Amino acid sequence: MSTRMELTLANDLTEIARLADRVEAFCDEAGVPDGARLQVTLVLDELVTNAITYGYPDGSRREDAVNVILEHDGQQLLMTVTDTGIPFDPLTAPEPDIDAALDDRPIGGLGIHFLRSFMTGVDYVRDGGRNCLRFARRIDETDTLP
Amino acid sequence: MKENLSFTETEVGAGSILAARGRVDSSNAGLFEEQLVAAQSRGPSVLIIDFTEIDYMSSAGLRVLLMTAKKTKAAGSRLILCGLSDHIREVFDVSGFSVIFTICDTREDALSTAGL
Repeated sequence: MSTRMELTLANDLTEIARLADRVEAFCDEAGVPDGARLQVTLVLDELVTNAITYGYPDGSRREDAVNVILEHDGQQLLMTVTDTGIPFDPLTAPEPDIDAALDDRPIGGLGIHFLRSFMTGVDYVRDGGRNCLRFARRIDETDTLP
Repeated sequence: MKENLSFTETEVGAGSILAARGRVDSSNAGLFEEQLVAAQSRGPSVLIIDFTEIDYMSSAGLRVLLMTAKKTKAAGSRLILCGLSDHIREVFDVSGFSVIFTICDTREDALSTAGL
């Protein structure tokens, strides 16, 4: 069994709630365990937030800025996030120092750290004026069933 | 959608408990920040943030907590977090936030730790 969802978002942070609602509904329908659902929601939220916040420095509004595809093939969730913003390869972003003391703790970079920590098979290409990021979240026996 | 984050503040002695309800993400982190700044500006000796009713928080919320922790430290008061769900606790662990915050399981534990 394979299920698929596709969602197009404007470059406006109010879209994050809609993204979260749609991911939750998809995961409920596909029987994805809570732990995996929350990690996927978090990583998609972080990536889309980054694309909206940094991808359009000229401030232009785009109704079709970000496209999110979520597929479930029974064993894993496969995510594809594309956006029309300025080129950005998250795999080249420096790792945040997560061991720094409070006063030296950096404020940014955690979203991409979550991508690296929770997801597998992360792949980035710049294709046809779009950033295209693919990654997966395997559903395994360590995930409690919903 | 506008009301997906709300707060209840309770004074306990010289301390204060801010209970948050809903979800914290990049679209409403500004409201989260306003509430924490307001609670802190009233000068409690200890500020306890109760996350029992928060089921989701992204790095936008972590950023606000980090700023709050720095301000609390500068003001000579304490910040204690409690009631984190397993998922939020996992996010704290992966971020390295678990070691820089005082985290208690329940509000009662937080009050006890605060000496309130």
